[in-house]
Parts: sequence; structure tokens; C-alpha cells
Amino acid sequence: MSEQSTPLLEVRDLSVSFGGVRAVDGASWALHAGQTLAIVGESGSGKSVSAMSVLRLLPTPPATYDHGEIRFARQGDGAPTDLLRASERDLRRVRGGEIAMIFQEPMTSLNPVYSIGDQLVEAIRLHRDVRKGEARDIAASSLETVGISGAGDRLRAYPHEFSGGMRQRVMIAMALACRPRVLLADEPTTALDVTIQAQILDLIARLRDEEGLGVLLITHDLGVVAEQADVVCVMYGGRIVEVASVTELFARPLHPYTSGLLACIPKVHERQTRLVTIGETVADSEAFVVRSDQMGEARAWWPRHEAPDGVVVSDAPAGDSALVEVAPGHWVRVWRTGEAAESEHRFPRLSFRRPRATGSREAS
Amino acid sequence: MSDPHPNPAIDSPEPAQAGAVDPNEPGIVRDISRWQRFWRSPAGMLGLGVIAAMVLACLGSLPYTLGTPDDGTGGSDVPRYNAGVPREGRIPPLWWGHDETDIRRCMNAVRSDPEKLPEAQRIADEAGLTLDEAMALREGPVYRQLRSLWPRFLLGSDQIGRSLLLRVLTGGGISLVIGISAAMISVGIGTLYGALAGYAGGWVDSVLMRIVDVLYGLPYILLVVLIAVAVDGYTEDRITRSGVELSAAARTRIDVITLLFAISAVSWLTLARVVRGQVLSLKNQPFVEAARAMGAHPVRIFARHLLPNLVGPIVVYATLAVPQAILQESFLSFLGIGIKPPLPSWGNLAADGLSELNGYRSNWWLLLFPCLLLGVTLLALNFVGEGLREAFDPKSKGRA
Repeated sequence: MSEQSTPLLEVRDLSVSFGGVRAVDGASWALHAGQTLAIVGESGSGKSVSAMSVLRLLPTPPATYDHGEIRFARQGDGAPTDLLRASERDLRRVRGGEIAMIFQEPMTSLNPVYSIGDQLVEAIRLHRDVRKGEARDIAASSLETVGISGAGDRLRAYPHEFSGGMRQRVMIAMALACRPRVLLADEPTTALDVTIQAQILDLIARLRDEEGLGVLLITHDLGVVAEQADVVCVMYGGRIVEVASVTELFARPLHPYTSGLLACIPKVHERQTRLVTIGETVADSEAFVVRSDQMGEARAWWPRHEAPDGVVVSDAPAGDSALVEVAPGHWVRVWRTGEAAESEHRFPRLSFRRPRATGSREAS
Repeated sequence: MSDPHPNPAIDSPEPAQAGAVDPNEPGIVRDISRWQRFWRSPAGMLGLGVIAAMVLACLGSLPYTLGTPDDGTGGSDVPRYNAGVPREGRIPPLWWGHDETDIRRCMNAVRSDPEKLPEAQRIADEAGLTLDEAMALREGPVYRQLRSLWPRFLLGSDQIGRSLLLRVLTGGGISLVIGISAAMISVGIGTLYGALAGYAGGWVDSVLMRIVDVLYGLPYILLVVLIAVAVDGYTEDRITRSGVELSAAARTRIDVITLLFAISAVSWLTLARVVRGQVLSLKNQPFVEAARAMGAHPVRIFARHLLPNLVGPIVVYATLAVPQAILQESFLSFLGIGIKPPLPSWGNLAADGLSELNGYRSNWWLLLFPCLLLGVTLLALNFVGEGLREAFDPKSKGRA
């Protein structure tokens, strides 16, 4: 676990607001090549806004980027560019070319009036200096890559002739046709049924491993996280409350909200008379004491609790709370009291990758 | 009861799988362009054919109808559409059965025509009758001979003996020119304006749409009248200053252009709103966001992703805008702002024809033919619009 390797994409202290309302407050995360970073959280927790902010896709106004940096290592390994301050022109080159994005709505993410081929060719020619015929060949081969057979004919089909799963494959093909290094997947499977969901996620994982793609996976499905993610960020109320490797997070959730989320997953093998809700698990303020090997005890940050005595409000975006590494590779947001206030301001840059089951994949 | 035409999809031994389309199967139309799809739509082609015929007939005949008859006497400077003599007024179409009143009208026209009177007199003399007796006959060879002297109008004549055919053709030319040009101008302005407002958003949108609101707030007739009067005043002013005397044809041209300008200046407002609304909703469509995420330039997104999706509403509006412009033209002509009387348009011909309908005696042809041509043209325009809309909508049938 080399924490020192340079991430492809690093977000530091990002704050985004919509007309005075902070949608994302001091979010920090880092994405390495060949890694899947999952951001989980409930609706409105700021996960999609974080992803959209990376490419500055949010319309301004109403959105404003208040604070932070988005460091992206551009191709040709120069100094990382801050996408938040890059010119529109540079940004357009990054969008699609180096950082691609796929969206939640495969049904409407394709323009209904153009054939699949036209749209793929357009995407390819936006970033690659190729002739039309060549672009069509690339389009056909990228359709093959995402598992659409008979690509030559499929290029001539229109979006409405495709099912949701196929459209999402087309979106992925389009996203990957320009060989980006980062894929932002904003709930790529939410609109799809479970079998298609598995296929799409496997496809993304395969491409990640083959191409060394960094994948940012936005989801609210912990099952997907357990299967796909290497590193997980849990967001609540615009703030990241916990960051850890997927194994660590599921084995030892430290923030009560995370354990609440995990407790909510219905268990197949246990008899439950009623489903657990988050409210039951996070109401108790006593549960918010995090015992840390590095800093003793700290109160985990929770917006619905009153701040404990001695909270230090700092100038940092997240103000009264800080994301602190409470165990190696395990970060939790705690109120800024005592040691938490003094601990140096660092950002989580976990490069953990779970072992890839390459052997078993080939065997099966 | 046995079905003589069994459904192959049901009866074939190997039923085709639903949704499985074999692109190599003959007879399946795939990947034809939008225009090709339009060329293959029967309704669209029918409409286009009718409009083409109408345009050809009306505009093609303009040099003739606007020209002056060269009858050797050399005295006339009245253009053909306006040439007629009152004695030949209100003659029904020549193929229509004439009743007693019509016959008397025709006979009187012959009697008061100095060129035809000697011939009629000769026919009566040969039959050994006085002219009055001969003209009172309603059958026999003498009647048929006299009948050949009657004025002949294919579509009848109006109150003062002008040929309705020539007037309808001239009027059609003027109405079509004004209708189609005004619709094109208003569609052009409306689309660009609305798309700019919707796409730019923010204060640009607010300013542009408030202007539209203000123009909408004014009664549009008032607006048109103001524009027409202003342009009229301006041209008059220019003419008196330059001291150049304008020919009647030049004045007519100025009238038509003024009318065109006035109608298109007010009729783009609706389309601007419609297009803005469409752009606003399209702008938030995921595929537009996807195009942005793909790194497409805003201009490119606008031209490639927004405009083609607007074709449906624009085409529908355009086909409706043509009849609307024609109707507005006739209304303004009625108010005396637009096409001024001796010059016909379908609108003022219909208005004239309407006044000829009465309980005592209806000169129906004066109303029927202008309205028929107008109606057929408008229907054909709607067919074309429908054909275009279908062709530009990839979800419509006509594809595999």
C-alpha cells in the first residue's frame, strides 16, 4: 500500500454551493490509476455534485465553486493541472479526452436524432485526429469491446432501437473511445435491472484492469460497493464522513453513519421482523465516540448533534470538523476538539487496490 | 370463415423473433437519410406536388396576368388580371349549366357588345327573326349559334366582368409569395431568437424574452398597422424627396414588401417562445450534458444536438405559419393596408366572393374558387409538414 504514489486525480477541500447552500463541503479524495473509488451516500449527500465538479459541468449560476483544488495529472506527466481554474478551452480537451463520464440515464443520454455510429464518430473526432472512416472503425471496435456484437450494423441503428443496457454500453463505448484515463461513473447502473447491472459493472471493472483506468463510481448501493470498489468514501450532508479501503470499511466501520448504512442492508440468512433504518442507529450520541489508536477518543462529526464543548472553528471549508486518519488508511470526520484540532491538515490518498481475481475469471 | 390473406407472421412455420431484425433481409429499409425518408412518404410527396403545381401555375402565369393585352388597338394599359367590361359581369363558369338569369345576362352582354352585335343581328336575320325574338329562344340552331357568341370564362367572371381565373392566379401568386416568404422569415428569426434566449439563459434570456413579452402585449394588428404605416410614410418621404415618380408596378412591389415585413415582424414571436421552451427542456437532457462531458464546444452542441431536435416543432410551426401569413395578408388587405383592391389576393378575392352570396342570387363561383385554391394549398402544406416531421423523427415508422 504505497501511499506516496501520485494519484491521477485528486480533489482537495472542494466546496460547491448552490445559491448559498453548500452541496459539497470540504470534500477530499484521490483516485489512482487502475483503481475504483466509490463515493456512497444518500440522495443529496453531494456525491453527484462532486463528480460533476471534476469536469466543471455544473451550470454556473446557480452553482459556485467556493473553495478547493481539483488536481489532474494531464497526459505527458507535467505538473498536475487544477481543473477548477483551467480555461474552458483546456477543460474541453480534458472532458471526454482524458476524463470521461457516464451518466445515470442511459435512456436519455444519447441524442435521439442521430444513429449510434454518428454519435460515436462525433465523440471520437472531438478528441482524436482521425478521418471519418477511421473513426467509424474505431467506433465499431469500441462497440465490440463493450460486448455489442454485429457492431457494423449496430452503428446504423438509432438509440430508440436499443435497450437500456445496450445504451449504457454504448455510453461506455463512447466514453472509452477516446482512451481517457479517468472514468467518472455517476450511478451508471441505477436505471438498469440487476442482471444488466452486473454485466455493466463487470465491463467497467474489466476495462479498468485492462486499460489502467481510474474509475470514480458514484452509487448508493452498498452491494455494488462491496463488489467493485477498492476505496470507499462515505458522504453525508455534503461532507465525507469516512474514507477507507473497502475491506477495512466493511470490517470495521468507525463512523456511526457508516455502520448504520451497513446495518440497513437486509440480511438473507437472518430472520428479521423489521428492517433497520438509519434513524435507529444514529440517534444515540454516545455511539459517536471513536476510539482511535492514533488520537485516543474523538467525537465523530454528525450534523444533527450539538457540537461538543471545545469545538474549534477553523477557516477550513468544513470548519468545525476535520477528516482525520484515526487508523492507518482509515479516515473519519470528527469534531475539531483537542487533538483533532491540532492534527496537521492532510488529505486521504489511499492507493489500495483489492486483489484482482484474474485467475478465477479465466477459470470460469 | 377462412382468411384469404393469412398473416405470414402468424402462419409461417418459423415465427420471426420479436425485435430480432436481420439487416440483410431484403425489403427492410435501414439507414436511409431523413430526406430520403421524406421523398418516400406518399402524403409528403402529394403535398409537395400540389404546392409545386400551385406555385408553378400562379407564379408562372404572373408575367401573363400582370401583362397588358396586346389586342392590336394598342390603347389598353390595363393588366390582364384587371381587364374586363361591366356588361360581362357575373357570368358563371362556362361549363356550368346556365339558368334563365344567366342566359339573359349573356344575351345582354352580346347585345351590348359593339363587336358581337352585328354578328348576332346577322344570325337573327338569317333565321328571319328580330334580334329580340332570336334572343328569346331557348333551344334550336339559332340559340346554339347565339350561344357561341357568349362571353366565355373558365371560372366565371366577377362583378365587373374580369376573368376569375386570371384573378385567382394573380392572387395566388401574391398570396403564396407573401405567405411562404413571411413564414420563412418568421421561422428564421423566431428559431434563432428563441434558441439564443433558451441556450444562453440567465440575463440574456430575461432581456430577450421580456422584449417578446412587450411585443406580445401590443395588439398585433396595431403593430402591423404601425409597421405598415411607418414603412409607407418612409417610402413616401423618400419618393417626394428624390422627386422620382414611381410606376404602379413599383408601388405594388413596395406594398407587397411592406406587408411581408409587417407580417413576419409579428409572427415570429410565437415561434421564439416555442423554440425557447424546447431549448430549455433539451438543454437539461442528459444527452446534452453528455455532449458537454464529452468536451463538445457550446456552438457545436447547439448546432448538432439542439437544432436537429427542434426540427419537429419548427416544421410544424412553419407549415402553420404559411396559412397564417396568408390569412393575415387577406385581413390586412381587407383593412386597406396590404394588397390594394385592383390587385387581387386569395384573401380579398374570398372577401369579395362572400359579399356576392345572398339569398336572392348567389354567384357562388366568386367565393368557391379562391377558397378552394387556398384550402387545397393549406392542406398540401400540412401534408408536407407532416411528411417532414415524420421523416425527421427517427422513431416514426418507415424504418425497419
